Amino acid sequence: MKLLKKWDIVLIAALLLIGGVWALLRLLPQEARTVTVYVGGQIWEQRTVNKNTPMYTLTPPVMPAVTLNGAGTLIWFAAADCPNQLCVKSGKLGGIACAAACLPAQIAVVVEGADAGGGLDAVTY
Amino acid sequence: MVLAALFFIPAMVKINSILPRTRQFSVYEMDTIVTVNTRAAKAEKLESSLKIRIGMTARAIDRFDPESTVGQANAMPRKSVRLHQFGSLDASADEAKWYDTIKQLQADSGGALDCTLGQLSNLWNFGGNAPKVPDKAEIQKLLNAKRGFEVNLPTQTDGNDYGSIFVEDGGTLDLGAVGKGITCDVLAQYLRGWTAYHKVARAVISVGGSILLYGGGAFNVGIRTPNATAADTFATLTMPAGFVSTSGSYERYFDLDGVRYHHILDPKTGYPVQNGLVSVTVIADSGLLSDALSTACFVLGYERSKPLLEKYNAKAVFANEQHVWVYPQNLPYPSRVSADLGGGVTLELTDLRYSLAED
Repeated sequence: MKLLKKWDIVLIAALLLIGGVWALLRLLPQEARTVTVYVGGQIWEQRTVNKNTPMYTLTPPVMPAVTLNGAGTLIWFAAADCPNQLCVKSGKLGGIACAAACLPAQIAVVVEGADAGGGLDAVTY
Repeated sequence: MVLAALFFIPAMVKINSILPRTRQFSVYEMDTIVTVNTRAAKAEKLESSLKIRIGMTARAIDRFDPESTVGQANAMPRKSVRLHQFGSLDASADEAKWYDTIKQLQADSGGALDCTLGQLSNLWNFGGNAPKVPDKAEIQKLLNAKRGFEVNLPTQTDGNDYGSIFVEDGGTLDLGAVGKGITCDVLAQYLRGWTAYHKVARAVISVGGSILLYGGGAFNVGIRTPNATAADTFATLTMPAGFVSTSGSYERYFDLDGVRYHHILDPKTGYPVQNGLVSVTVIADSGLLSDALSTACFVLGYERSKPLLEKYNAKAVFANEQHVWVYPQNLPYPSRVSADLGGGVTLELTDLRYSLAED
């Protein structure tokens, strides 16, 4: 007598396939990232981005005025209407650096889903 | 067989809830971005719990919030303000212990750490629209004022006495030098409790650059290059779970008439510390210690920091624009670009502009 019938084998294969896809989805790194812009401590803008996201510009309602540019999974302070422009100097965010803030304008940007990069778990500053 | 299949799907759902999942989120509190990266079971529930604790900590220590404990204490000098007003932050993160530790650190550092100079920070206004060099007389007046604080530890353990603090009328409590570390401690304490019921394989939490590393295995932490973009690091620390904080002159500053004024103020002079250092990173047994010691050591400089670091069993990396000093200094260095700080902590310089220096 055969131990397994044909449909048993099909069912087992289907279950294994489901299990495999589930495990793969859990283990694979997620390509999509989330860019969050905080103004005055509240979320002002949140968008999902990926490596194909075209260039965009954000002008949050803050003083001094600040312009943010984004493209792909990166975002950066492109301009700031203040003398020191510390936020502009922070450069592009989305890899090893994933967050920056402009205190005078009470604005902060963070990219979630980003690896620290370069084999780093975090960056202290 | 069909029955087996019917069991298979619920089993998968159950396994899914037990197995650790990676989850990232951010919160903006106390002018600081908190980024949390966990690999844990019940990750969604853990996220909400951690968010609550971050908010509770802010409610206790944010001096710009008039409802916070610190805000109330500053508004009512010489009047005792009850601690623990915003719910239990877990026993070992008790607020009274924070203030007691801060007082001890202030004394041990010879005043290099001073958490009562909020008014002085206000004068300089580093985080504001128009930072300025304050009038010398104004600075002196603040430095001459009696500005300590007292903490009354709980006298009972029945859950109704949480202790209290009061601030002298010449001081303004400002936990800016320790608040990020305190938040790391609160979150670490919560993760320890969570681990008793659900698996937390790993957690990396950054509170404005103060780092909590939780879980097994080694972690790699980059130290940001001073005066460069946020993506540049000049060194990598490889270390087990623990706490790391950095104080840097490049974080908040303004330039005026060719002079750079940064936000780390010397409590003795009231002016930005000018000792050539641009960054001090400290690894310690708690977030409060690493945060407080990084500020105190920046003020003291490398040589004068050694007894303080020894007392608190902490490790440190000091940097000027070219050279790096480490404590403890286990000579000889394997090379000019790597050092063993003991306890499984190693430092590797990754930017060729820097080199390790000896005493």
